[in-house]
Amino acid sequence: MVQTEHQIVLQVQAAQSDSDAADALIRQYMDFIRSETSKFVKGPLNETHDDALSIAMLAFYEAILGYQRLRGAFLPYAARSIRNRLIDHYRREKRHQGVLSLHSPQNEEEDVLLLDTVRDERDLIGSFTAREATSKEIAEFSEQLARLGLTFSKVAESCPRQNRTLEACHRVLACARRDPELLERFERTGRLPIRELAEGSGVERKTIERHRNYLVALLLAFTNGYEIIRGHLCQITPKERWRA
Amino acid sequence: MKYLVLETHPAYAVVLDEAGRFLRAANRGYAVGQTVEQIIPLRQTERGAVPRALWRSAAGIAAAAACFCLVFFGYYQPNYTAYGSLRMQINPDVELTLSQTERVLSLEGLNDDGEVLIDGYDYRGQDASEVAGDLVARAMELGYLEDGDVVALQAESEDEAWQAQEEQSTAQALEERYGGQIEIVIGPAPEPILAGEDDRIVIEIEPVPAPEPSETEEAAPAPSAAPDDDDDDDGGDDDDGGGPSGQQANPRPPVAETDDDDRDDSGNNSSGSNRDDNDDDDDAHASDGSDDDNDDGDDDDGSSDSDDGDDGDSSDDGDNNNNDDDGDSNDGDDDDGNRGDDDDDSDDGDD
Repeated sequence: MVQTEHQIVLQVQAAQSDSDAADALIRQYMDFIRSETSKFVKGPLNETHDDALSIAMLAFYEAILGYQRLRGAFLPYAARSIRNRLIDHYRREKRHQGVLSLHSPQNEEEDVLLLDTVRDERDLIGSFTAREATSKEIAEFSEQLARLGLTFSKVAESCPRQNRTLEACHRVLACARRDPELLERFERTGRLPIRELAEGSGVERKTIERHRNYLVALLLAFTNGYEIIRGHLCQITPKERWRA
Repeated sequence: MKYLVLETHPAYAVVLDEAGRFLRAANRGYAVGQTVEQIIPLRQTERGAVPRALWRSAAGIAAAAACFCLVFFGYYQPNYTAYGSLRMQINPDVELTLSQTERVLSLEGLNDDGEVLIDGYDYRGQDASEVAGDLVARAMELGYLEDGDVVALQAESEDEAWQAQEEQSTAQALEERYGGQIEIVIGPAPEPILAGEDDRIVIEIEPVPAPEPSETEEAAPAPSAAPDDDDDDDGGDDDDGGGPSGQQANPRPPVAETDDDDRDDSGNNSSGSNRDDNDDDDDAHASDGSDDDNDDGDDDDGSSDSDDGDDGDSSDDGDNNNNDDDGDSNDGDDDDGNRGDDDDDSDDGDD
């Protein structure tokens, strides 16, 4: 289905704020993404190009997020984005020229891949089980967030990019954890007690409000029994680990 | 750094790093709950921000504009844009156009002598005080200015504070340089001292035709000098009266008349004084009109004893003085100014 430019623009704009719409748009233009990638690698796509395709899709998503009408038509803009991303990636990858794909055939025979011959050190079953537990926790986490009107994507959008701001958010978290009453109030109402947090942590109100979605997720992770997730966040409060 | 995969989408996945960052990255076949060591993170331009190239060029232009403004308003404008003027009167009358920083932008002679004084003088790059000092030196060389003479300074600008300060600072500079030799005043050139004192005549020179010609004409038909004076006085009254009050006693109080005279004197209105003279005529007598004119002329001409002194002044003042000199009783009356008309009448008789 060929769309008019106008329709595309509307879709892109919708996708900028709605991650489901973004997913749908990407699926819709999957062929376009494939063809652009294949143009870049100068050949038909196969498994070796999985990475390239993932990158191309990410690039398309980036184009959706960054598109503004004044940049011209969307598809050419997206094509440029894909090309640039791929160039960047392969430039870095050039350093790893000596790498051979595990998917390449072993001895000129197509049947046996190198992948099959390498001994698998990983405990696949073990890690699978672990992953299961983790994904369960994550699912709960996601559900709780959804009740507060959030998705992981939104949280990621709200996440601070500068280290300085990230540390400020950690201070807010520490303040909340110091004061169980605050945390409990947050759990109950689902809203951040911004004033108390600002006072207690010394972080500006403005900063807290700008990253409120992120802070909600962060505090949430430290309220309920999200052991695994907290275990993963070992870099947040290393001091805590040494506390008796 | 390890990344925990929280959520997967076709084009990306949301991962959590060990420092608590929630990031979006390329989905390279991730499964939820999986931990990965390397990711390709999402690169985002700031939403709603102006594209970088546009931003950069706008910033560049803004910077250039700022530099320009800085140079222009900081240096060029205060130094090269006319901000006011300084007028210096010796006998020659010159005007310096100044920038805000007292730099002399142009130099103009307001009378013939003034033009002679500045002819050939290069004022470029100097400030007001220097140029004023140089011109004073020049005036001395050329003989315009002698010891004891008065130099009058007047500054003009929309900025009154600057104006006053300009007068002060230039006056001070001249004082330091020539204080012993000349006298410096601020404001319009003072009244000329009585005739007879050499070189003490500070003449406000407005390029208005001097009343000399009329004086000559009037000399002939003038019946007598004294009455002329009187007439002049009357004329002064007339002026005050503001019109052809004719034989009527001038209602004006003497002060007024004097004031007028003063005004006339300092106003540099030769034309004005001429006018006054005309008025005098009116007062005097319709018939005597011509005489009056003559009288006026006399006054202006200065042919009358006192008139001479008065030449510089508007006739009125001169007249008064003249009257005194003349010693006419009437004149004296005239001086009072109260009974200008009366005096005239009597004067007429005298005539």
